Amino acid sequence: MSEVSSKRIKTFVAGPVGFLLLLAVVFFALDRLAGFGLGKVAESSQHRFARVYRGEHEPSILVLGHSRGVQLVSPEAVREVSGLPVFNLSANGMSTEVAEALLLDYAENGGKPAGIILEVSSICSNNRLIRDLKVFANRSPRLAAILKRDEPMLATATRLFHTFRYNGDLMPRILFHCFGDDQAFTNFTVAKPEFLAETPIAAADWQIQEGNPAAVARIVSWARERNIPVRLVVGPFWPAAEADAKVSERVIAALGEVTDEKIWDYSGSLADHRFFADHVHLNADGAMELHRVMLESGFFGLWQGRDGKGKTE
Amino acid sequence: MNFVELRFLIFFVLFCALFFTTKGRVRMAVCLVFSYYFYACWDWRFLGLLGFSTVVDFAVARTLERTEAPGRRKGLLLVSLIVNLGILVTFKYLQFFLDSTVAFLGMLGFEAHRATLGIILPVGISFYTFQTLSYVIDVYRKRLAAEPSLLNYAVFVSFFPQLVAGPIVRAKLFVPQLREIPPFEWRRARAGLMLVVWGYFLKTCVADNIGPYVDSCFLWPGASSSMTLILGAVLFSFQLYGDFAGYSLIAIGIGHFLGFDFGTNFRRPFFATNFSDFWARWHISLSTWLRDYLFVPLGGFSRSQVRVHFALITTFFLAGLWHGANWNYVIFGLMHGVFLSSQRLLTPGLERFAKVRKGRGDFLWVPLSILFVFTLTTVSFIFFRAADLSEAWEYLRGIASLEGLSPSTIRYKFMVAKAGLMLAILIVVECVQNHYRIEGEAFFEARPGWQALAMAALCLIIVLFGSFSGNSFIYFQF
Repeated sequence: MSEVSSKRIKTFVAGPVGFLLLLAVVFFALDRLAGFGLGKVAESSQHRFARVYRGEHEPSILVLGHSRGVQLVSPEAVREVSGLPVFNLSANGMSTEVAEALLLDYAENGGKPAGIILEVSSICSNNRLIRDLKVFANRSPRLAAILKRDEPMLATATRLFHTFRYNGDLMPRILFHCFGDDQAFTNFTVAKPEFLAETPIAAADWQIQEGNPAAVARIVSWARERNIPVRLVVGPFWPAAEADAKVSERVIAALGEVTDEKIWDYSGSLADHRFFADHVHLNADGAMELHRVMLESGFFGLWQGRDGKGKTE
Repeated sequence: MNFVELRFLIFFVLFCALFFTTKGRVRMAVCLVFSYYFYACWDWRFLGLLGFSTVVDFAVARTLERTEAPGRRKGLLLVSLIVNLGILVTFKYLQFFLDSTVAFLGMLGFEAHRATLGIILPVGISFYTFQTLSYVIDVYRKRLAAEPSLLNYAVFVSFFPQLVAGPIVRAKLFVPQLREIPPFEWRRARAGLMLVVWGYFLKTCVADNIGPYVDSCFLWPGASSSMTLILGAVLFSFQLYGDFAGYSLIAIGIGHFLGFDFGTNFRRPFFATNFSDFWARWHISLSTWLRDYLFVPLGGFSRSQVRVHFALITTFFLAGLWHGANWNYVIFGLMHGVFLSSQRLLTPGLERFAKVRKGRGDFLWVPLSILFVFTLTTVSFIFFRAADLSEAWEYLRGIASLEGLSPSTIRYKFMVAKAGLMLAILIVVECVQNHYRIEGEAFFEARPGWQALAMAALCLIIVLFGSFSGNSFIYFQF
């Protein structure tokens, strides 16, 4: 390039039109390139949501719920009694409406649920998780519809800036689980008794969100139509917290109006602080203890053989 | 309305359209109307207070200029001080003073009932009050001519980029610029845009990604491991820096874009090697204000060492109180007063040591000094962040218990990892700037192509990692 044309380019870039043009071109080129690359990474990850859209499923017991569903059951223990693997699709803050969209997407992409365990206190979660799930909105018309309805600004921004799809707390998790799945997550935190005693849970955070009870009813009907056993569960709360906020009472009453499916209420089944990570979440020991309680109550009867082992084993 | 909202972008585009197509008094009127609208978006009820403070100080300064009698001049200054500080005390400190009096009487055995006044703190009051006070004091000291135009003066007090959280721009710097606004200059506007984008990075990527983790640490200090709490305290230092320096840079950048110079408010404070260096880099507009209008009058440059230490402690006690009506802020300020005072006492010994070293071991001495200043500053920020003294003590107790020092006890690892990545970008950029002594504006002036690339990359990082939850700026509460 001659010195004259190089000087001309420099002068053009130093001016407002040249500078803004270069800025826009570089930005959008980087945006599309990074968006494409991150999309490929998201597709190949072993993260639970990535697996929903990639297919490659074996018949599994599906666990759905918000953060309380993440540590609700012990996958190894359930496999022992049912002979089936567990695919836990629960995630922090997941509403039942979002869970329904993921379940249908899972089935559409080749998933064969051998049973569904739904932690129903998730009807108190709003749809905010959709802000993170925009990662998969271009692969799921259902998620895209929720995003467009609940977060129209984000939906537009996602279309405009491809990298914006990967903005949020989900993408770091997807990257982390590129080489190993996230089903083995275990919470070992043990809540301090004084913390459980001194800090109340806010009842305001546990209000039933519109649209969620109806989503539970639709999940139940969908499962029944396909002869898929479904279990609606309320997992344990720290007893004093539950006495304050009365979450299970309200959840059971609300669901009683929309479905006749039995609700397995374990909200008051554990009372030892060693089983809790905090007021509303079990830890690994809590999940094992709950499993024992569930076994005693016949929760796994549908999947359990006469010897107490899995029917398929 | 806040800089990280979409409606601010619309507001700013409209403002620019009118600002650059008008001239003279009409342009000033545009600035004033938009600034008052910006303020009204926070709380229109306090517009009267802003206007009252503006008119009083304008009138006092004009009268001061026409008055030579020392007694009358002092009286006029007193009027301005009483009005400005009276407003500040009433709205910001009255409840605190009442509560403290009740608590003190209780300690003495007298029973007094706590009265709740229900006073709302007008946003930005500490900033514009200090701005107007400096103007009147400068006119009183005959270091500045009183502004003849009420319109220009009102714009100086209320100009929207720096109205609610600074920088505290001195009249000496800003008022002359209002009299003669330079024509639009692209080179300057480009530099302003760069500052704005870097400011948005500091706010949305650094501060707002750290915020939720810090909030969780301070919400339940008793339930967290020592490592979680230590990390929470360290991250809060960066959150505060990202939040406030981010706001300042956006304000300064907008000023640049429009043709104004608001000065510098932060200069890589965590590279400070001693506490006076820290305050020469942190919230510079406040620290220089305190130096000129408080520390010096209190005898800060006096020969008496006792007087200097008194001036230091008093200045930083008031600096703490300036931040908020809470004993936490007082302790924060006093801690820095003690740090600076101790440093002054140790200076002769440190200077002798430096002479002996002759620069040897600087590779170790400088990082250790930086770490020392950062550690003590971080401890002081625990008081700054905690809701009250008991929460701050509980937090410090949690750290001191040394229960759970393994990194595996850290909560929300993904959040920490993301924040860590943003901090790494910040630290690398600041290390390069600090090492090569380059300021972004000077570096990019002759390299527009590189500037466009850097800006595009920063915008991409903001889109990918920024938090857009509409978080307010921490310093708005002051």
